[in-house]
Amino acid sequence: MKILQSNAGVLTNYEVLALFRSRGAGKDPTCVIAAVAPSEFKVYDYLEQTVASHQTIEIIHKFVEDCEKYDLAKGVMLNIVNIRPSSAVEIDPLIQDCD
Amino acid sequence: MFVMSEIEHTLRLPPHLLNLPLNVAIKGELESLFLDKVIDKLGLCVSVYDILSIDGGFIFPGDGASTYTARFRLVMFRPYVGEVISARLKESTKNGLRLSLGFFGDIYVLVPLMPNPYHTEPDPEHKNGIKWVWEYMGENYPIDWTDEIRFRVHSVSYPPIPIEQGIDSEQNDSEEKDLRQKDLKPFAPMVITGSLDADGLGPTAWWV
Repeated sequence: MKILQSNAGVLTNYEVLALFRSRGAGKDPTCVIAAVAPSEFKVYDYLEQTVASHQTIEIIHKFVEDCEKYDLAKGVMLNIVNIRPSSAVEIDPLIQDCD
Repeated sequence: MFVMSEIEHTLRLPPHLLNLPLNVAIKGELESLFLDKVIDKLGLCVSVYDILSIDGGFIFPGDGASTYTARFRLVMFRPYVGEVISARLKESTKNGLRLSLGFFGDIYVLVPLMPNPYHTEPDPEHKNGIKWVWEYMGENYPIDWTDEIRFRVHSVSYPPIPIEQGIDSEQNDSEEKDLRQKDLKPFAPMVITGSLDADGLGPTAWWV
């Protein structure tokens, strides 16, 4: 086994959830017919409980555009998209030297 | 939390899969090989994203199956240091907390990374359990079992696979041996150390 690129792209929680949904994970409650393995299903269950289940791709694009003027690091933007903090105290651990 | 990694691997396709279309068969083989396994430095493999190319199809002498070299991308669970993740409480002992994401359960928050100042109380419901309580401005904030807990990733480590220990021939007392094996935790190939020591971390109920 050869690793060609260990980091070929970072995925937000929403993108992984969309990948599982496109394979039919959400429609089948017994997950026997869908092309989703049991271990993948556990990840799908976890992601459904996070905020990613209420996001769409347009929201994420718009957020990235709006944040350009703040010049945030990619890791910080990823954290905000995945956690969706709704108050100042929740943003504090995500950004260093927050003001 | 999730990263894509590009991998090239040479795999043998068993003959009973020859009736399937090639990419379906290769995807099935890759899933059984990589899914739910930890690759050192890359993380836990969650899913096969896509297959970029399939080469080969040679049959080696003496073998009934063909060998392919495939290039594909895997979705890996590999949180980076500084990422904030929500998890549930799995265990609470005197060494600290153990959190779980459902598909990954080896997240430990050790005592030095707990919110300061704190005090502990013995937990009446769980055997050997300790309830952790944070003291802030005169109020007591406990860490309960029903909370969704946010932690920041402090470090990710991949301990090497332990070498099996030889069987002790003098060990006649099987009861003692059973106790020893029960104490040993099953080997965890990937361990995440988390920290709760900042504003906004810990159970979400504390901050909402």
